[in-house]
Amino acid sequence: MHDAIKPGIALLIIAAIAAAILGYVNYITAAPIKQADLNTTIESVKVVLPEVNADALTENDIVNVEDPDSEVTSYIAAKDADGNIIGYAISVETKGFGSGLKLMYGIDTEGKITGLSAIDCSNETPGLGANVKTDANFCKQFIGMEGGDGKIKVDKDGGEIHSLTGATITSRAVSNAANTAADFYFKNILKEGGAN
Amino acid sequence: MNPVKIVKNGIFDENPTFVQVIGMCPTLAVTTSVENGIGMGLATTAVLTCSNIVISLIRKFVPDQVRIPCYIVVIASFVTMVQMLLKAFVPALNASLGMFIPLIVVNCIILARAEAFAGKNGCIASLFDGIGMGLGFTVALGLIGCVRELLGGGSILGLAILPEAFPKTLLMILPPGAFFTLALLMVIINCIRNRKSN
Repeated sequence: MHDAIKPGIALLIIAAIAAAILGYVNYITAAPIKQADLNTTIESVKVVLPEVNADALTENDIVNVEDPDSEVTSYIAAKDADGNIIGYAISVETKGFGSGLKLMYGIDTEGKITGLSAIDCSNETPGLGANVKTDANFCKQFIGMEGGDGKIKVDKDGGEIHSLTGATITSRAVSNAANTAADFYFKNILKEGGAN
Repeated sequence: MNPVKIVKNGIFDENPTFVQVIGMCPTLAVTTSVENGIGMGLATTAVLTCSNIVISLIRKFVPDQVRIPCYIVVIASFVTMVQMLLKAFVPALNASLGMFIPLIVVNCIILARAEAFAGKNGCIASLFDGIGMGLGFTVALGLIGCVRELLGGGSILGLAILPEAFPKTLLMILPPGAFFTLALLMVIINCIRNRKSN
């Protein structure tokens, strides 16, 4: 009996100590992690909606979309220095070459795309699809376009977007996500009269 | 117990990648660039060194029957801690490495060293074993990353090395390139070793 219990107790003690240490590390890092995430988001909003008054953005401005069927994860109503809404920064998580391709699109109040920022493309092929993060010429193509209903397409599919070299799948995913973001703007945000 | 010898052992004589051929999943998956390879290597080194120290300290307390779950708890705790600390204080590094950190838990180098070394040796020796094996892994991943980034992207550490006209072999940064590179480097290393021992 004793021999059966002793190993269990030893494991319990080790697991308990590990849990306590992890709890403490989580406690001290939770706030900085939240801040770092927020900073990343704000940096992206600045890219996709350059006229935004970024200093005024706080965590409360991020509206999470709790719809498992939608690829849209959250959106932010961006305001200029006078407090007028100039557009929406819509975050989309889609599947590119790998899963978990996170992109943010800026859409102005007329429904036109103002910018695109790749937040997480670590599952795309480095040197090919992952270039979406650094290739400004590729991202620029989307500016001024009106998406939705599959209107934005890559050149291979008969559209206007020139794909990234050797990364048709990623380019197609970015184009589709642009349509998703635009659809979301027209169907959800616009309909609700531009909720904050 | 000679620290220099233990570290050298990890980097050359018993290099985890080229000699022991363990931890192949991260080796093949993350070495698309030098930066990724070295980053993954250093993160593994940090976890390996910490887990080796702790495991060598608790080795007498841990009953034989439950040593594997105990080791895994220690390793997983360190990996989680590294991930939280990276996220909180070095978000830039986390952005490029974040995906790979959880992979360290299942990197068999760490469990292998816990079983083969830290569970049988003292704290200081285990510390140096962790550093040696970790650096050996880092060097190996860096080398593979070098070859793949150079042939596949024409650059090293993001700096363009090959002239623009040189054709880039995209295959090298795709998964098959990892196998080709690993095989190629192993041939070279085994040739050198054989020549030395003759």
